[in-house]
Amino acid sequence: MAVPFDRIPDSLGYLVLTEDGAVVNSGGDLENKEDVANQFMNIIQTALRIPLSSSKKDKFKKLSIVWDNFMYVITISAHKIYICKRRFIPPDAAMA
Amino acid sequence: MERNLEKHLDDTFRLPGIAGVICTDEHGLCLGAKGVATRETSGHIANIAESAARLNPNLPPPVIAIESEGGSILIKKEGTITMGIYKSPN
Repeated sequence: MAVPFDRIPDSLGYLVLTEDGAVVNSGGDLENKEDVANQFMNIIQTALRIPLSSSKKDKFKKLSIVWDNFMYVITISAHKIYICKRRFIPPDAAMA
Repeated sequence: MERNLEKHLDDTFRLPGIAGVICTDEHGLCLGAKGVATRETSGHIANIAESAARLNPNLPPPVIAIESEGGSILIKKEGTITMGIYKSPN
């Protein structure tokens, strides 16, 4: 099933992984990047261990890794991990 | 010796919307924690910051945002120090 990553604004690439870290689908800058997928899995597994609130069931909804011009946005849904590489445009500070 | 760091952590913790703050070194040693941040998470925070920086080693370390309904954590590594800021949900 094709995931419509082209509908995400400023999408530069994507990875879809199983919960074990196997690559199901990939495209753009992240096409066939299994080594990068393994690095993401390490980050995701560590992030899942950080308690975000007193409720133990509170897992993260979104994990973003942001540089100056681009970012990776990660989410988990229906036992699949979705990673999207997107252009990042910092919001301008409001002019007085 | 850590008076300056404690003051900075206190000042940050007192800002509106901040539920906790944690500071670690590159090995995961907790240098200070306030509010909901616990010393036990210092290793995870340091590991995430280091792993994310290794995704693009030629670029400065990124900002990592972990968001959930219970709040969010912002993590940034600068040199050998990693800071984590816990924000309460809006």
